Parts: sequence; C-alpha cells; structure tokens
Amino acid sequence: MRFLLRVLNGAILLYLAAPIFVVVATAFGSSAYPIFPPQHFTLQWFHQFWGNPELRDALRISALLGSVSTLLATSIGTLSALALVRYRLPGKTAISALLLSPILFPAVVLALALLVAFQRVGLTQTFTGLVAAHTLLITPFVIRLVMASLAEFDPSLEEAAQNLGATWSRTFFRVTLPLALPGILAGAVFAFIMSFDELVVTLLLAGPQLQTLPIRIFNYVQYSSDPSISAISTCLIVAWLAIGIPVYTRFLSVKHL
Amino acid sequence: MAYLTLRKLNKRYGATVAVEDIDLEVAAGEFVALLGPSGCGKTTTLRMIAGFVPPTSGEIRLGDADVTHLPAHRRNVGLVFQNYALFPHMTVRANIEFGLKAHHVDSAQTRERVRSVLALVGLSSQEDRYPRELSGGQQQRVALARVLALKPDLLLFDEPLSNLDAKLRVQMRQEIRRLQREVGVTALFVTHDQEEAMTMADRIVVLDRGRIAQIGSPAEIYDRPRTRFVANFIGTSNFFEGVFLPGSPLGIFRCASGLEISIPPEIVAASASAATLAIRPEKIEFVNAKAPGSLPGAIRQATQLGSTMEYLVELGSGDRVIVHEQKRPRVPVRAAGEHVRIAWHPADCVFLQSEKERSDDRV
Repeated sequence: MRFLLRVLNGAILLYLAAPIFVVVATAFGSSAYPIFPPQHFTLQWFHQFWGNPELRDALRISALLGSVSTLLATSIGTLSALALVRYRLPGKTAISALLLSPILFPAVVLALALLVAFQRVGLTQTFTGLVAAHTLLITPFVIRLVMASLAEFDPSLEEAAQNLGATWSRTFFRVTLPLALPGILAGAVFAFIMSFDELVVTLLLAGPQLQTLPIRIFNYVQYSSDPSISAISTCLIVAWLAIGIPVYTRFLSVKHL
Repeated sequence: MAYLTLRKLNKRYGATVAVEDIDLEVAAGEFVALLGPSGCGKTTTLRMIAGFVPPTSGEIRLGDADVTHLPAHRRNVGLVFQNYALFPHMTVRANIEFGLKAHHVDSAQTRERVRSVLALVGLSSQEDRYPRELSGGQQQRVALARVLALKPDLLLFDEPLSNLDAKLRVQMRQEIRRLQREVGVTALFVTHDQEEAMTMADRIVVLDRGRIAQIGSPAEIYDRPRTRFVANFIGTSNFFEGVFLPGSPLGIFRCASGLEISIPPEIVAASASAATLAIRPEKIEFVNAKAPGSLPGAIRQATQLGSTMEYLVELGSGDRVIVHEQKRPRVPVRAAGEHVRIAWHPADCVFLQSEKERSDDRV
C-alpha cells in the first residue's frame, strides 16, 4: 500500500515537473525548433535572446512593471488585510468580497472593462495604466495571503506592547509588521510572479511602446518556433531558483498559503 | 491608604451587563485576588484597569491620579497575560528592553535593569534565547521580568498559572508572591482557581455575575461566607433551608424536612425568620451514640480524597450531609452502609444572606 502511494506521488511530481525539464532541455539543443530529447549541445539560443533588443526591452518593462505594481499591491493589500482581520468593521464580509472580486472575474471581461474605462481618462497605452491594471489584478492575492498569516497572529501581543508603554506606531512597526512579514513577503512574491506572467489584460491595454515579456513571447511564437523561447524560460527558471527559492524557504512555508 | 481605587465601575455590552457597580480599594503593597467562575467579569475588570476596555461608567484611580480615560500605553500598569504574550521574534533580552525603549530609558540604565530583573527571576543565563526555546515556567518568568523592569505602579495578573502543569503551578504561586513582596508592588491577580486565591492573596474579592459577592481575607471568605454562592464556590458546604423557631432558649433552626438544628441563641435575634444555614464538611464529626444533640444516620457513599475521606451521610430526616474526615494512623476508614451519629458545634454554623432579591432584579 505504502509502495503504491509512493509510486503515485512520484508520478504526480513527474507530471508537474516534466514541462520544466522539457523546456530546459530544448533550450540547449541545436535544432532550429524545439525537439525532445535535444541533439548537440549549444548556447546559441541564449545568445539570440540576449542579442534581441526587443526581448531585452520587454524583460526590462516586465521587471519594472512587476516591481512597481507589487510595491503598490503589497502596501494596499497589507493595510486592507490588517483592517479586515483586526477591526470590527460594518459590512466586513461585503468589503472582503469586493476586495477579492478581481480574482473571480474572467481576465478578458476585466480587460475589456479596464479598456473602456481607461480610454475615457486617457490611460490606455501608458505605463501608469498598466501599473493600475496589474495592481488591481494582484492585490487580492496579497490580501488573501496576509489575511491568512494574520489569522495566526495573537492579538494579545499588540496589547502587551501597549501595556509596556508602546504607542500605536511603535506597536505597529516593532510588533505587528515584523510578525506579519512572512505573509507580506509571500504575498509580494506571489504578486510579482502574477504580474510578470500576465498576458490577457496587458495585451489589450499595452501600446506598441509597452510590449511586456509575455506579449513579446506570445508574438514571437506566432511566427517563429526556434528555441529562443526555451532559453528565455530557462533563464526565468534559474532566476526563480536563485532568488525565489531562498526567499521562499527562509520566510514562507506552506501554512501561509 | 488606598492605592488603587475602583469607584462604581460598570461595563455593559449592549443589554449585557459584564461588570456592575464594582467598588474596590487596594492598599499599597497589597496582593488582592479577583476570584470567580468564567463570565463573572473578573477579566473585564482587569482589562478596564489595564486600559484595553473603556468602562461604561465609573472611575479608576491610581494613587492620586484618575486614569479612567488614559490610553493603555500611558498607564504605568504591568500586565502578565494568561498566554504570557512574549514577542516571538525577539530574544528574552529584547523582550525586556522593549518597554524600556518605549519609555526612552537610556542605554546604560536599560542594561542595568535587564540584568537586575533577570537575576530577580533567576534567568540570567537565558537572555539570548527566544521564547519558543524556553519552558512554560521560564516564559512565565520572562513575562514577569518584562513588566517588573518598568517598575510599574501596579501589577495585574490574568490567570497567569492556568497554562502550567499542577506541580509547577504550586511552585510559581510562591515565586510570584516572593517577587511581589521583594519589589513591594501592589498586585491584582485574576483567577478562577479558589486554591490559588486562598494560598496567594492577602484579600480575596469574590465576583458573581459582574458584582462583588464578598471581599475579605482568605480565612473570612472560607469561614464566614456571606452568600450561598460564595460558600459553594469556595470549598464545599452543606446547606439547610429552614426557619428559626421563636421562643426556644437555646435557638432552634427547623428545616423543611423536619430536621431540627441547635444554633447559638444570639443568631436567632439577629436574623430574619427564614434563612439558609451552611456547615463545612470538615466541621462535622462522627460521635458516640450517647453524645447529646447528635444526629443518627447511615453512610450512603464513601469517596477517597487522598489524605481525607468524603462520606455522604443520610440522616433520619432524609437530609444528606457531606462529611470530611481526616485519615488517622491505624484507624480504618468507614464503609458505605455503616450506621453512624454525627454532630457539630453550633458556632461553626454560618447563616447566609438570601440571594432571592438578587436573582429577581436580573430578569
């Protein structure tokens, strides 16, 4: 029985990880289109990626857009989560549902709504518009994750701080914030990935000057099938291993999700 | 001189009364226990004094100052929480320094105070540990050291021993009392554990449904309870409902069952005609058949309490009486079914105030 379970677990893990192996493997193959298993080791697709100014530009835009949106979403989301968990607000359930509603909308519907709204105020094809749209999309995830981590937070710690003479701000910055930090970081990491990955809404709102990496990749694969895309993906996977995993294991655990 | 004064303190949540007309004066250096079952308002009272719950009405005075409306962080009142509430992301030292920094104590004095309170609670070697690395008893000491470092005007304890195991609890009772005496700080100790209150406190305040039922020394509370609630909550009592018979020279109390009990004559004059009489189980003894005024009965149940035995005795009148008897060397314990005679001294009877009016005005 235990053996069968192990086999099943192994199969599930393989199923989840297989695309990553295939993508990474094809990035190093010499044929002009991705094949698996790859033949003849080469780094030419990485050169091609770095040598392509459009893709490099797209990477820069995506990173900047993700960073700004994450900063905004994390601030708004943390404060919203604190208010929702801590204080007895009238209509708390309604507010909570409203704040989390962007998760439930189909992305296309949301994108159309934003397009119509942004056209009125002249925000389409602007960086500000994209930041506003991404912040809207990713804030609910921050709220959810911070709320989950605050649910374990013992409110008597804040009372203890006040009892020891700490003002409201000292209590917040020395006790509440440090203890909520794992949840906030989890939210931020998640939010950045969501933003970095976003295609549908960005596609409708971004102009020709604001092509993010997902849009470039999307366009690229429409007329070319060389493994440059595999090379980009491999770079992103390595970046996640180098930055994301250490942050993840240091501050976050499954219980925060 | 009263150091902490509560005057007509009230707390209502909508229609629910949590605390009602609490009047209390605590002298400087005194250790007072707030005792009662859960929901009696003892924790709400404590939280009002700490500044976490605003009173609906009434006044809280500390020394000469009215602190009723002072925010929690401006009251120099140290609170030891039930779950200790140590900051999990700080070491023992940082936990203790937290309050000193909030009060802008300079660094040389901070070091000195941390050192001295850690020595006081016997944790000098643990200052770089995190709370999760300490045992429950050690966490308790850190919580105590953390508030003592601020030299508080008043120490509040919110059931601080309820998370410890039985042996440690008894040890920490003495430890807390020793520290409180050494520092000379006034203390208010909330507990639902009557034994804790009896062994630790100079005075006990018994709370019943938001009101003070009785204030007194542990001996007064135990030996002279004023209401049936107090007599029942602290220790065990036998209760007899009945009336005083007028005109009898010795003083006779007749129960509904027909049982007649001799009582000190001066009580008859001082009391209303209908009353409740209480007698503690250990004040009743088994006597010889010929002893005058003794009551015949049979043991229905014998229960081991450790060093004492508890007997349930059914009297001829049908009344059932609990009797506690200390075990003695080479004397066998009694068994169920045995026929006995019991007696007590009339002076050990306590007459309780009627609680009727109390329950009527609460409907």
